[in-house]
Amino acid sequence: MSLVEIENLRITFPSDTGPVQAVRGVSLSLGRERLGIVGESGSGKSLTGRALMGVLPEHARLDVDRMEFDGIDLTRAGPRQRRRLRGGRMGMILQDPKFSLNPVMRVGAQIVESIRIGDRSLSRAAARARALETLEAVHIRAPDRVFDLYPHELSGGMGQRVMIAMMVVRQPDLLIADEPTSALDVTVQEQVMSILDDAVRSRGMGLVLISHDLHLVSRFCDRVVIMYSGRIVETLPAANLAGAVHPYTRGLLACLPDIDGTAARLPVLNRDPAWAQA
Amino acid sequence: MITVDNLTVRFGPATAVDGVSLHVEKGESFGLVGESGSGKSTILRTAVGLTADWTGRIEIDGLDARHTRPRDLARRVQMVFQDPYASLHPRFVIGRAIAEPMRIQGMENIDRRVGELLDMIGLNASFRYRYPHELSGGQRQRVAIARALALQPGVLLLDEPTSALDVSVQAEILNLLADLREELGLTFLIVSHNLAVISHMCDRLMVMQNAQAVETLTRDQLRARAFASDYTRKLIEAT
Repeated sequence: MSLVEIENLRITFPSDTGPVQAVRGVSLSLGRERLGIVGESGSGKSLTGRALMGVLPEHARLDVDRMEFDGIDLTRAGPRQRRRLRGGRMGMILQDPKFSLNPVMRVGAQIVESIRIGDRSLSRAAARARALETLEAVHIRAPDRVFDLYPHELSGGMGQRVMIAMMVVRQPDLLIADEPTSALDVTVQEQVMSILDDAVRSRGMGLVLISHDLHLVSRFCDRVVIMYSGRIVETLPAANLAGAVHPYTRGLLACLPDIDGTAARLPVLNRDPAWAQA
Repeated sequence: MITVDNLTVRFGPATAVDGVSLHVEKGESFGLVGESGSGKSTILRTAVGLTADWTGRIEIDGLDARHTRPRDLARRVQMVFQDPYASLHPRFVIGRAIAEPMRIQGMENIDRRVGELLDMIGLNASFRYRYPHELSGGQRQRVAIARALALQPGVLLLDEPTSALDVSVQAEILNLLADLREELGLTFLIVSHNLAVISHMCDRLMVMQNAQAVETLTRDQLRARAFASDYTRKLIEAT
């Protein structure tokens, strides 16, 4: 059975010139796999993730024919039930750990908090032990020392690993990672992605990886969905990006510079208005 | 055109750049790659007088960066920053933002020159009266480039010029920069964490790590994987 089913998702924002539809009829189905959503800014990829998580901006209007998580009808779930799912069975990681961690709370305490929200029966000491284990699991050296640090004392890569620790410690069934490595150096990116990968492989977690980076997504996902202007224009097996047929996807691939590229000029994308309609 | 000799930059107790030397010929495009905190941006910032505590020597277009008035240095070298959202004055219309350096220098025919610059970067005249928030990221970066070119400098220092942009926009900006370099005979010093961008744009590059130069390669050496350091290999693998 699939973990997530979305049918005909539409997200609309009011504006001075009338409502603007930012997501226009997205349908997705996710199993316990790694699904990438790729698109440029404004394509609606982040909004799709946020809608699933139930954290859309307040003024956004959501219409959807069907949105289910592991058989639970999310369109009928009340705020309390959504809240219980969030952080428990569904986790989310955002781009910048600087804005996602509480700046005035030591990181260990933040992880412990997220453990104890999920399991109040756990003693303080047991929660601490679990937090340390998790820090170790995300490849943080000297977890004892890091436990007592404040977020500003962490590097970007460490901060992002702490964020991941906070999310995976609750062993969610679904993790939505929105540009989890965009703020990180390429060498650190690999480590962070492999940690997420571990969680998928070892526990059968479903992962939605939202990114503008087509190559990153293709390396770490099973399937890739390409969004343009609020719609899905193409879905591909990640191993077969070269087999893309949509001109937008092909254009995106072509305009990337390559270490070994020889072209003096990069091909640019000529946006066909029809892409937004199709 | 650019000579950096044994440059060391300190921020309090921390050393951000540690004894780095490099030389860029006139008309050449030179890249600096490395992870965040490796000191690559600090070299650029020091060259235009944005850091205080440094030793060593920087010479740009024959001017000693330490002993030249900022006003005079500005005519020879200009910087383009990573974030086009942060580097334009939000309450200046585009025309005024581009005119500002020329106004400071007391130049004439500013109005005509603004028109030429807009044309050069591929924005039509109507953009002159728009505010930065009305522009896309790519358009804003074009404006930042126009502003940098306003004083007709021979050298552009580009600090992650496309990292904040979508890849399709990145391609447009990189093409624009390459065209401008050819047209105006500019010398580029480009900082990026993206080795592919550097390989595409630069004749030579220096790999940096922990405030120090790891090695300097030509584009051909990079493409032939003729590097000496393990760190460079790691960077290439991760790209």
